[in-house]
Amino acid sequence: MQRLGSIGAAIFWLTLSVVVWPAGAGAQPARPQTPPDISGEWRLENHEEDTTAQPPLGDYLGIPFNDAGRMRADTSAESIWGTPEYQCRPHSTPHQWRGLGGARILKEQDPLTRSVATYHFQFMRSLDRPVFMDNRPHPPAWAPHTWTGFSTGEWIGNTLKITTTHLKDGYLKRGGPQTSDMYVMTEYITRHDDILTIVTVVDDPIYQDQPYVESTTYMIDLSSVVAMETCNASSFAENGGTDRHHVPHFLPGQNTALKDWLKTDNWVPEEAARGGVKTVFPEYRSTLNGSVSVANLVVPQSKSVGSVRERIAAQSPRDGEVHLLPVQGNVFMLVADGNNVTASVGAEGVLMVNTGSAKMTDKLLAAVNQLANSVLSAPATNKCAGAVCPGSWGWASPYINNVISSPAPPRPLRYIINTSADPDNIGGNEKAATSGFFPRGGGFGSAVESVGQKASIIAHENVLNRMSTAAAKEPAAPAAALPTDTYYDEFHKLPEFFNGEAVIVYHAPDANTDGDSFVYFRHSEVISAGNVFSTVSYPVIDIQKGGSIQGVIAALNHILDLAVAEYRGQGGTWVIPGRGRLSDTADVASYRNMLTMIRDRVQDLIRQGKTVEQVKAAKPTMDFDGRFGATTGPWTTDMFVEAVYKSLKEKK
Amino acid sequence: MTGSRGAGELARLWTKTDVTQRILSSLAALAIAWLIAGPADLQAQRGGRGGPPPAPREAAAIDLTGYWVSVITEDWKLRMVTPKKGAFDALPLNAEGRRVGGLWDPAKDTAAGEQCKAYGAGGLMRLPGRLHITWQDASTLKIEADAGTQTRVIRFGAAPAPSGEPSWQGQSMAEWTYGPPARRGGGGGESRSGSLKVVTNNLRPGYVRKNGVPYSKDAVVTEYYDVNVLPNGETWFTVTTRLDDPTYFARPYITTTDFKKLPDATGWNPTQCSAT
Amino acid sequence: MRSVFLSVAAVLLAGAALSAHHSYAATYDTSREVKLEGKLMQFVYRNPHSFVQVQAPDENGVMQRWSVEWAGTAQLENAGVKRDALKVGDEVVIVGRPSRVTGEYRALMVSLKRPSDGFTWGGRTGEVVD
Repeated sequence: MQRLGSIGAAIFWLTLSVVVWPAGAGAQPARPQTPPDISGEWRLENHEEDTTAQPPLGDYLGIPFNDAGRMRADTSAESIWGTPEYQCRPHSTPHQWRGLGGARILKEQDPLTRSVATYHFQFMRSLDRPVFMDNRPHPPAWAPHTWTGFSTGEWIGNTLKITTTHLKDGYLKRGGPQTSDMYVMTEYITRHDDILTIVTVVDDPIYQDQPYVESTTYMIDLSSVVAMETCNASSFAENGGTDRHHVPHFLPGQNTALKDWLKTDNWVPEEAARGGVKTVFPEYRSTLNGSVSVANLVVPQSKSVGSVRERIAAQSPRDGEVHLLPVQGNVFMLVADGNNVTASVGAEGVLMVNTGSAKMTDKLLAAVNQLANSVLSAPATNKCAGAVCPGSWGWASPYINNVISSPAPPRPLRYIINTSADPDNIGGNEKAATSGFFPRGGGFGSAVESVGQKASIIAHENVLNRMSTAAAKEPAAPAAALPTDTYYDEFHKLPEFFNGEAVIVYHAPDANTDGDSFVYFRHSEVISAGNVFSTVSYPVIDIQKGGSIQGVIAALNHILDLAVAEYRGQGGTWVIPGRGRLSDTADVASYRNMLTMIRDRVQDLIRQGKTVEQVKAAKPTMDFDGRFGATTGPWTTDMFVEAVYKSLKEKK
Repeated sequence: MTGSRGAGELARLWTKTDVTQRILSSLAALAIAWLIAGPADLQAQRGGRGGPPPAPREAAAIDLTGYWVSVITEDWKLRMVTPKKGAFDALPLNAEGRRVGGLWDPAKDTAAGEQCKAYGAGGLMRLPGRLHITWQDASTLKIEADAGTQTRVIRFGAAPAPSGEPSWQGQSMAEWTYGPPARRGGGGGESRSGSLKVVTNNLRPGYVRKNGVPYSKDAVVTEYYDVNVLPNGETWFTVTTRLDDPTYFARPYITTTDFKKLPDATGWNPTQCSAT
Repeated sequence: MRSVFLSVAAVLLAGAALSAHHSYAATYDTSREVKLEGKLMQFVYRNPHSFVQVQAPDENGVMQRWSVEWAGTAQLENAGVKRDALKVGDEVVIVGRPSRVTGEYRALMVSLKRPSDGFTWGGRTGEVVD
């Protein structure tokens, strides 16, 4: 009996543990140990107005625009899509979640750990957007911007937070609103059952008074397939005419369609249609009866993160250092205290486009030397054994020392090309050229020591003329700094391949000055643009030295004629600006488009009989000033506008 | 051992009460210990060994308490102002929904005392305004809206059958959805993770928009609340709302609505319901 | 060759035909028409939009190369317009909606006629650019 009782008690407790425990766990689900799976095929399923149709022209409702943002939107023309450089561009990253065609999210796994190393986002009209999950840093500010930007992600609980930088400028929404190229986008993606909620934060202080927050939803769709929208763009302009460099835009005040939609949506206040931070808070409703003006509203406005001016300047850091960025083929970009120097490094030696400022010469040359050694003469592990190893006579010990510890030094600097006489381009000429070597004069030159003993310096002859003549604030350059080979017509080709490719120096007549050039490395597919192109300021146009806005635009058009994008308007021929980040055709096109718009605006004001002071007061550059302008320093917005005015008045 | 002798030995072993008893007692002791200890997750949720599960307030996956302001960046013309009758932009209405929506008569609604139709749970969160979210008690979250001076009471626990008279705010039941714990070194300092899911029914017929776009008494509103900290340090929440109402909608009506956290009640502006 | 540049104060259109997801009203002035009579220079038969290019005078009588946006290949095929339907050198009469940008020689196809054989597009059901 006692035994039966004990056995019964044991069975009772055993049963209790099996039955009661799950019920005793209560209604709280267990905490998962891994984030939810967001991969799969998703279709846009959100019933808010923006996701079903393109907003009409002039509809800026809910966008916290500042005046620059409004002006930029008002003057943007939809047919910009028809220009050769933009025909194939994908949807902008902010717009992507609202475009047609669904989304595909793929997981790329680390093969050793099976953790997700990278998510890939794909849309119909897009490039693959990888989101790196490995805590890698974002690239430096002088690295290229792309359509999809550079994204890193982290899981915060069950929400994937994605931070994207290095985005090109483009449209915030179809129909006008634009972004600059200095915005940062943050996304928060959370899966709820079969719904994916995506919150996007676009922080663009150039055009917005506060970060712009939107949200949308997708639903899992097992039958969905994200199609590929092919792009068949040729260089034929969809916009007609015979000017392949035509830039569609509206002069300020000339976009007459901005209010057409209000005839249908006649309950929308006209003022609110212009957007603005004060219209997005409930306080705005107090203005509807007219008792309170929008200007007097106090709202809980949000702040942007960081300083956009610092982000712009970081593309061309005046930090006394040299930063290296490999570009393509033989070509490297060196950022020397904010000035870009291009270096071709190869078996025949080194070619530099420009030599930076004088104070940076030692550091620059040290960097170039180190680069050449690492590219051409780096010690390596031995991969060969025996008497037949390359470079060996007999058995391998000289070969081993050559490979492992003492490779042959690289060939020296052979050529310098100066794209202008700007002190920031020629400051290192003397030292750099002297450190180099160019064989000239053959054996007959031995009687004259200096001939054939230094690098050749190539430039347009106007550069030589300016450098060899003292001017008001600039003494004549020393003889050793002067160009040794000049040209005077449309272009100068190096007479032979250098480092395996053609190098062609094109004249940019009457651009920043009368002596500007840009350099095309034809196999590496790199153009060193010199001062004609900058990503940190308006072009510095020296009227006294023959510069003009027309010349700058013509030079940019010439670059665009030569350059070819790799895919969907991105990459391909790389363009190294005089100052700023490494760029491509779309970036050059954006800069060219801006300058064309400004030129047209100033031209229109001149046609109206405005004086230069009146033109400045009209602020024809207002929508670009936050990005490229300056109120202090050696090149201000006012100086730029004045230069544009003068060059148009002189009708060059 | 030979066969018969082995069987005999086994029989003797089985019948030895002390061995059997010992085995069963050991198993019982283990079972008792298991009941007391429980799995690790359950421990965490209980807040300690052997205690009852924590109340929803203590077990909150995210913190929704405080003052919040709606930031109207999307559907502005349909939310900040009252759109004209028949503006059904983007709505997956069926024919009946369009027909009824086309009959909207705000004067009639006011006369009938139904000026709060657009302030029900099916549309309240889309209206511009401020929210004040607090814990009414350990298992009940309260959402007060200054728009229409409405109050939503969100209870935790398994959803019971609808009871009581239908109301503008209906009957809401909630549950936490937990995310994984923050990884070492990551997460931007976030220690909580998860979402709030709320299902609301037993609603009086109302409007999803102020211009009379209807939802019926059979509508079920499912909401998911997520809290995010933006790069500028601000806390926002986004509520994903799914309204299922086959009476008027051809498929679920889904929206997302964003709110920014405020430090205090500045700007709190209770306003009465208005049919326009 | 003549072209007549028409400004029509209000043109009644089926708005839905032009709204779509990609808004033509943003690119083209849908309240006006332009008539182009000239020689076909190029027929780009492709997706998402085909284009024809026509040499025709502008409102000042200056010969310009106009680019007229048309439908995608599927829509054109359904209307019997195949890749070889038009040839370089064909004399055509096109009516279109002009670009909103002044001085841009771009239009959206409303109708195309080839008088030599009566070939037409535009006007029948389904013959509106999607």
